[in-house]
Amino acid sequence: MSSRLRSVLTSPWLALAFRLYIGGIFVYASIYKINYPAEFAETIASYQITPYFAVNLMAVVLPWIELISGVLLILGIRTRSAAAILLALLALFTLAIAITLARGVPIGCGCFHTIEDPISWKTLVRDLIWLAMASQVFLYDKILRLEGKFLLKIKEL
Amino acid sequence: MARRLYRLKTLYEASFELGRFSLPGEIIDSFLLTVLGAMGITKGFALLIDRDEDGGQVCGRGFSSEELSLLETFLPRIGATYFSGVSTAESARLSRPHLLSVKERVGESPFPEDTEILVKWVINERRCGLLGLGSKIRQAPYAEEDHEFILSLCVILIQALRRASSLEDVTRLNSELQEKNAVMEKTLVRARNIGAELDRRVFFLKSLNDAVNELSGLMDSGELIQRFLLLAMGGLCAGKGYLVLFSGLEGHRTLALRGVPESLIDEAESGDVYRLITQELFSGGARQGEGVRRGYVDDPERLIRAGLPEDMPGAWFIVDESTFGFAGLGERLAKAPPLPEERDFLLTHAGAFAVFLKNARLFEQTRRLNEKLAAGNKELRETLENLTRTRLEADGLKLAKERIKSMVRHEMGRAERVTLLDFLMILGVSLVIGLFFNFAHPGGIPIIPPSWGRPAFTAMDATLARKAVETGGAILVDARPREFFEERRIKGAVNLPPSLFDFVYGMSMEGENPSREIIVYGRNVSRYYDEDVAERLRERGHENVKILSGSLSSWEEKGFAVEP
Repeated sequence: MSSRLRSVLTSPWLALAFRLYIGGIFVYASIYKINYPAEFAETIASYQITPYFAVNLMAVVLPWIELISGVLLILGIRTRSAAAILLALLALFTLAIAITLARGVPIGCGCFHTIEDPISWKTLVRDLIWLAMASQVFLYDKILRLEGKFLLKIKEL
Repeated sequence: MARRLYRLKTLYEASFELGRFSLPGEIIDSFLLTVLGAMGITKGFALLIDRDEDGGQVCGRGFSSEELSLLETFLPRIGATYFSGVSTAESARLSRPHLLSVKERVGESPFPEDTEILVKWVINERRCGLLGLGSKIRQAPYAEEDHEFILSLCVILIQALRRASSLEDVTRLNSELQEKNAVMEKTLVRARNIGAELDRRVFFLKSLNDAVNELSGLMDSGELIQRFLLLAMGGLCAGKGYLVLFSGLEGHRTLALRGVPESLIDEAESGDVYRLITQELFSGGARQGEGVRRGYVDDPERLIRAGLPEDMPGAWFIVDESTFGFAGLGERLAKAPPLPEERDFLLTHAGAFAVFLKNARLFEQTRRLNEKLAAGNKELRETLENLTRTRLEADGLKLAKERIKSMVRHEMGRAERVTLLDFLMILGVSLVIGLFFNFAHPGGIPIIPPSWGRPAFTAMDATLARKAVETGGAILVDARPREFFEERRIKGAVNLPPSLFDFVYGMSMEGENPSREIIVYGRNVSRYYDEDVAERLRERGHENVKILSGSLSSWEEKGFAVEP
């Protein structure tokens, strides 16, 4: 039974599914942040974790990181690196949410839109799930990569 | 007077006469005649005594032969008796004849009875004589002037005899000298012969020495052979010569010719020559010295049988077990068969040559072996180098293969890899695009905190602020967003968040005195709300805007009023 579960869990197809999903989420999330950097800066500031001089910088650069990594994941180029970056980001977010929850500050997650439900343990769980997905992608993704096309010649060799 | 003249004339004539004769015998003979004739004496004798020979001569006239022979017999005794005191010194004194009377005879007299006068004289230490005269014809006694006359004649006689004696001596010496001359000439001739022979010997020895020296320096067998032939011909003064050498099991033949056509030696086969040599060996004609067997052959028959030219005798020699040869020389300048020294020279020369030849051949053999070895070495070395090179190449190829494999593997694993470069690329690109987009976008936000570009606001301590508020009528402004304000605030503070600034300001602080002191507070780690609001107040004309240092927390710590 566990071996079957394991084979399912470690299946590249699952990784592919996760990859596309995570990539899509991040691409979608980044669009709004890119267009409304001021709001995003506010969100970041509301967490009260980032030092004041870095808030705006983060607000400008972070969405682009998300966008590019998401695109790479979807396309299947340097998937492991992109997955690693997104893993790091997700970890960062999860940590921030955890801290905020511990503090009890009633702010919105800021993931998609500024005005939304304040964060709760649901948000934390969601982020953790995404973390798990991203790690699975990191570990087991193999198929349907655009990069693979480039490597064909070498495989022939 | 006439007699005197006559006597003088007689003396004069006698001296001449006697001078004619060279032999003493003739002299005394003539003298006797003169004396007898001049004095008119019938008998007389003259004795010449040679004391060295113990003999002499007797000459007599008128006496009988027995008397004369008696005299002759007694000559030595007479000499001893009458001339015993004669020595070299006295001869000068006794050159004058001495008249002896008859009565002075000593002992038994050998003289004839009729002798009346005896005159003795001495010529030199060796020769002396006696004159004996008989009676005169006229039987007259001898007068004093007769004695004088006789003595004078004797003086002449002495002179003549002396002269004759000297002559005899000279003649004798002359003949002795001639004899000696002859002997010396013979000796000279012999010495010259010996000298010539020594020269010859020296020549041969020197030739031999030179030859050996010259040969010893050569290491090439071909040169050695030629040189040997030349030297042999030179040493024996031969006009032509040849050397034939047989070596090895096949009887390989080496020829050296000087003035000899090859056809002449063509017939010489190794077997024939070898047979000749063996014959010579066993016939005892060989020389065994110094270990090199060699010998001389000049018998034409043997030479013909060996196939060698018969008019060129020479020496055979054995170099080693399989090498032997013959050197023949002909047309000698001397036109005579070689002398023993020349044979010796040739044989010794041949012996030395054999030794040197053996050495030279060994040397050549060694050199050939060395060359072969060196060639073999070279081949080996080349092979080794080739092998090494090949091995290096193989190693290189192996390395290349490994490298290619690893490269391929690396490439193949590229997709799997997570590298720093990827991160840097992604982050870098994001940074660049983000900044650019932010700059271009109308809704772009300042990256550098604006408060860094503005003059700072005065900070006010909490206590002072409270006093200012309670006494000076300063306004406390809470710059934080509403949620925070709701949650906790300083008592009496006005909420004026930056997002709602215009709205709230317009509503509550429009008519406010610009010089009224306003103290702004409210910041967190991410947002310096107080700075932003203070700046905006300053823009609105308020000059007296201050910021509470330490914000809410310092107020709370001081224990001042906080609500709710």
